Amino acid sequence: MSFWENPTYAEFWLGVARGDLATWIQLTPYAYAVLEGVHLVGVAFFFGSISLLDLRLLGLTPQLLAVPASRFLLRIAGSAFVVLAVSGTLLFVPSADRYAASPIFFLKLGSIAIGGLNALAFHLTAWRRVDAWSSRPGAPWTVRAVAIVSVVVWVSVIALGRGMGYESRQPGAADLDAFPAFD
Amino acid sequence: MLEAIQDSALSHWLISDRWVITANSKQILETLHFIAFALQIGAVMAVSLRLLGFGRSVSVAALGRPAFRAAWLGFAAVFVTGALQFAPIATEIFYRPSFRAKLAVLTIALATLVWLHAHVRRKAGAWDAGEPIHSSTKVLAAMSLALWPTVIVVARLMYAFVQMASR
Repeated sequence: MSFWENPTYAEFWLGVARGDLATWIQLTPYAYAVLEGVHLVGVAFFFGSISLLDLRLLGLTPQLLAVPASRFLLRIAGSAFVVLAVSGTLLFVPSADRYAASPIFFLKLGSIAIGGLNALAFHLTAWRRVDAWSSRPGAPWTVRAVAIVSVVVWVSVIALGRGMGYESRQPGAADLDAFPAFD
Repeated sequence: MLEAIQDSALSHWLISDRWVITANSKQILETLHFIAFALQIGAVMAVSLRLLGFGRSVSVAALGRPAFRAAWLGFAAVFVTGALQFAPIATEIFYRPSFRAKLAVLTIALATLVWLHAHVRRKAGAWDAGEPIHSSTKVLAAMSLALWPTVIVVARLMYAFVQMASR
């Protein structure tokens, strides 16, 4: 028996999915769609700034000074991550029972963890020697490897996130019919 | 015209589930659309924030060059993946107010992007040399910062309406 078939575990997440917060999100007109919109705005800020940083780490934009550019772009990505975590949690809640048993959800969480570890590894190694490589065109292979892992991981996270959307519990047809239709 | 688009061989192929084994073309196109707009809009947001005074030690010229390149490349992919999602539902979606709203906000945002790009191309060197950024550029950057996230939210609402209509 896999752990997500464990009755206590399954019941806990079913309780979350039937809780007040989940009900509010599902029954408030357009709350789910707006939350998803906010989540996608977060994705854009996060992925766009990380991609620009990765281009620098790949050595493709050597005119960009690595130290101030990293600080600026990581501040954007860090703020976006907070928005993503909050909106992501709220999107998780109405479908908590399904996501808690979903391989796609765990793959996405695992990929985010790999992305975080990749960033941490970079911070603890190549970043400490940034003055040695940032002024030269090109980049050492370790720095390039970090950038390649980063691109692959975050693209995968977006793809898995879109996959999760197909497993989510959207408001039922009856609830949607009660929403004011302005379209 | 819309009927012809929707009845084309391309549209029929796009909605046939024989495309790929595990995911249908809709999900694949949506995913590519997401990656492309995230790259495009995120890059534009970084430049906009820089012009509004964040990260002052970052060179505008050095940031702007890759950012606008990523933005236009990303937008090309957004347009293609968007058109491929439009084709199979052309007749249902074309007259929806939410689709019109999305295109309207998108058009204004694109005009802002073109204008902002022109400002940066002309003045980035001067700004990096210490000339203060003119308030007209800052207004454009603020508009860009507001408009692109609006495009995303309006687009997501449009998606919800289309889903509701197809039930």
